[in-house]
Amino acid sequence: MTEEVIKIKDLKGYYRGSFGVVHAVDGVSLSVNKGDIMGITGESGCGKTSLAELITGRPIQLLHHEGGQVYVNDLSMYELVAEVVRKEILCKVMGYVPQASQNSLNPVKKIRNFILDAMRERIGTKTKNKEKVLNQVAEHFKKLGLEKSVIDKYPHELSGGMKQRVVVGISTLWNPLILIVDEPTSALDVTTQQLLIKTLINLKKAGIVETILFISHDLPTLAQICNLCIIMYAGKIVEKASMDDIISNPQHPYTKMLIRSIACFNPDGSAETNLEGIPGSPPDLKRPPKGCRFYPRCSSSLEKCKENYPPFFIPRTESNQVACWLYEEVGD
Amino acid sequence: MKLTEMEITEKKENEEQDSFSESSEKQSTFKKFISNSFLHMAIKKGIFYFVVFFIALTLAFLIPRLVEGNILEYIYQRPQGTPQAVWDEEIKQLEEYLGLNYPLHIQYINFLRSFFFEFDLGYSTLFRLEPVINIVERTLPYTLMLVVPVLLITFFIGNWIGARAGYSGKRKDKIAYYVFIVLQTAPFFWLGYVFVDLFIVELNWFPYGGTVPPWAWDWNAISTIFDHFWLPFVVLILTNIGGWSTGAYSLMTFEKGEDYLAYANKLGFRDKTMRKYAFRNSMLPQFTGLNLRFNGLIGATLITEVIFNFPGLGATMLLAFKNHDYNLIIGTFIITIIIVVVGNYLIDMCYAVLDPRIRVGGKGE
Amino acid sequence: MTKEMLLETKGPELEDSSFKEVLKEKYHNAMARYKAQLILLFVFLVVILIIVILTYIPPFNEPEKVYWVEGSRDNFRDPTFKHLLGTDQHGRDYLTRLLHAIRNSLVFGFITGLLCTGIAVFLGVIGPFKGGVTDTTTSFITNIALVFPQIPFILLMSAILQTREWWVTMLIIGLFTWPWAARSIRSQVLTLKERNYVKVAKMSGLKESKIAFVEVLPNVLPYIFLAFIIFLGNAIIIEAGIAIIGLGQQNWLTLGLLLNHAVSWGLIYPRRLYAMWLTPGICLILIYLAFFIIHSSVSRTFEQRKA
Repeated sequence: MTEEVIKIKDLKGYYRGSFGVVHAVDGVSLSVNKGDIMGITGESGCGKTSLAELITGRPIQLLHHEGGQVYVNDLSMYELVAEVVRKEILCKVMGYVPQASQNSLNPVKKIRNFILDAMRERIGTKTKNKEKVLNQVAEHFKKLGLEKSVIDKYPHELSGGMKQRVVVGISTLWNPLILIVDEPTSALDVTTQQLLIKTLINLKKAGIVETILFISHDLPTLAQICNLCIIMYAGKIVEKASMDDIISNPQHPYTKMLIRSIACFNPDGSAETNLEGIPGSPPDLKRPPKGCRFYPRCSSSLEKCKENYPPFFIPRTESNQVACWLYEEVGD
Repeated sequence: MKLTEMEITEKKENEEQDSFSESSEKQSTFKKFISNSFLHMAIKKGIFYFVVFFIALTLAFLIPRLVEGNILEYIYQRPQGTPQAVWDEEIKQLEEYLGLNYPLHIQYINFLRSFFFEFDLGYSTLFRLEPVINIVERTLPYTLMLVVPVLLITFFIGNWIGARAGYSGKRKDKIAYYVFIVLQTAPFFWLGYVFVDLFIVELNWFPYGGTVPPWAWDWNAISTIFDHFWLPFVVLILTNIGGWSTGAYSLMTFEKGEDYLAYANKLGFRDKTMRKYAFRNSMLPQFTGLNLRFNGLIGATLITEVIFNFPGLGATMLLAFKNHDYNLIIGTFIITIIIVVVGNYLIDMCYAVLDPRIRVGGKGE
Repeated sequence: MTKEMLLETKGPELEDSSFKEVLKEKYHNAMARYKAQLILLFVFLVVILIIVILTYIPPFNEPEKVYWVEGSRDNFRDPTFKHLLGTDQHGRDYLTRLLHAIRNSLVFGFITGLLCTGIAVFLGVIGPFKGGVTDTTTSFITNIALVFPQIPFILLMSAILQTREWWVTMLIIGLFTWPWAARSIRSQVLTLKERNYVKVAKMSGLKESKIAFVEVLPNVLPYIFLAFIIFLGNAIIIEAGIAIIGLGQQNWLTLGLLLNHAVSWGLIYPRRLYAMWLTPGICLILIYLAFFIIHSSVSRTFEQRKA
């Protein structure tokens, strides 16, 4: 019996500024079930981070929610009053670890004061028993491999990896059921990357976090941890499938080229010499094309692809959906 | 295989972290105090400002003496009836008495010695040979009375107006901001005279001119001082708020987009708290400008005092200039430098207290 | 991998050495966006040009010409169209004097600005380039001079030297207002020195001074120009501020001198001749506004180029 914890219906989010309007997320529909570890990947600028920002209900400054709905545990993020969303959903149900979280901590506050502030914001009054609360926080941080002394420091006294782990710790402090992690590994060295991934797996195993949405452009990392994967391109989802299927049997032309462009080892141990990039570049999202957005770079495109955007087709199993006209006759 | 490798690296890292935290705990509190970077910085800055003051003092000593011509001829005009020869003889005697015919370095040492050990700045010829230091002591509070409130009020209100306009971006919050930007374009000295004409001459709301003659200035005159105080106070505030507002506006606009605010937003912070965070963090760079602005404010205050005949250091300096009272000119200047140096030092200390990044150096891994 | 590395190291060098081309492109962008500011700027330049030209055309070219024979009592206010702002204490047409004062103030500011900029650039650039003792000395000097309060020193110097010549005032203002710009330029030069393309130039054996002029200086020019603009406006206003209390220069007809006369001849009180003492102040406001706009639009253009 799988529960849908996140349900996104035709979500649209645009950046509005002096540069014009950028259609960062243009009609995305998605369901995440309880217990999934879902990876979201794609090129830079495809809308992964924007999608995550929109799911939290508190997108960053220039990003505006333009249409569609997001339901978290059946609570609508954009239709409910902001107070309710703030108190019920943020932190308690859904935690968010932003990209490049080194800068996400207030530089003039010690970690402990920042956490106490966050608590006060949620509870409404100041914490009475500070020491007890901080001890619990220290216990929680220990699971991430952080010492108790970290809490008494300022952010600039910590290394990048430690700051990242602190942010993960703060985001998981209220045991959120859903954790959205945005490119947590891109700014870290390999050892710390492994540590962080291990931490996430441990959090899931310990039952603190039930569902994880893992955003990264690094497919090998995703392959380690995720069971489902979503490929995004130019603001739309092009393929949803299980991780194994994506790697071993990609359906969408973009996914295929993505897999082929990763450096892997051949079965016999030698390095792969046929690295292929994907020619061309993503379309300008200020004026998105009306047909399939991958059309200009696709090597197996049809006439239909230029005119209409393809809906999702299901070639084989329910969990395997592709938005490509090539699979029209095969699926539903 | 993979798991055990990861376990080993994790153990190593834990050991490193343990040794680091152990060593910091083992340091005794005394050692911590001595190696406290705040104290270091306080002492370093103190020495620096003392050097600055010393150089200014030396300049104040040297400049008048390097000017061509006899200092005494500048101070004392030859009276009408006295023949030139007799006057020259009197000048010579006065020189010997005042010790002006010693070589320069001896004069310098005497000067330093009398300043630092006896706080002696000479005698004022305008005020009937009253010691300069006494005159300065009387007039200094009036200048401070003008400078310190103006500095605090313009800083806080100016930053608040600019930050509010920057954070919300709505038109109604920006009105005050625009008003003060326009006001700051007026030169304060000219605006001062506009006020003199408008409020003193036309409307007669405030009196003009010192009601008490200079040599009778004392604390009793303070009750009338407030009547003289309001106009220069308002002029200085109106022309200085705009500068802070512009800076605060651009800093806040920049701070709004910072990552930590976006993250706090997602953690469920209220708008009020986020505004407090943004305000406090965006104002930090303003403190570095506080030094320069303070110096500028001192200068502006000195001139404004003259315009409104407010009995502070500026008015005294000009009075001394008009009456060729050389000692008093130098004396007021030196006291002004002292105010500037002490003020700058205090501001630097405040900044260090407020920004932990200066106090505690980045230690990291 | 190696191809990308090469492309990366070549990138910044190309960008920064084709300074003029990039500037032209950004100029077009700036034109589109800050139309209002540029229009104001244009208007200001045109007005200045008109004023300067007017000062050479009769009847505006004689600021000392006396129109009334019986000197000191004749202060008429807007008598006819002939003297739009009246005549002053000595019977000289005030409008002419005002126009000349504007022109002379601007020239004064320009020259003082050059002096200040020269000092600031010199101390800001040689430090990072000669390195070592020179750098420590110049930054020490700059830091100390930064603490010296401008106006008290200027007041002291003016009082002691009893300045009546304009060039003395110019020297005094020039000697005490440069420190902040020197520090800003020095930090900019330091960051530029660490950029890749300078290191590449160094490795390829160029002389230090050549690097300074060819590679670094063009990129510091925006800051130098901005500093010059600030110095210009600042000098004009300080000169007026010193003059109005009687410590300024008195042999060149500037706005400061007009204000000085306004105060010392009692034009404010008791004569209450508004046309004569309000107008120099309004001119100062407009000049300050103009430089403010120039400064903000130029700095925005250059910031865009950096970003």
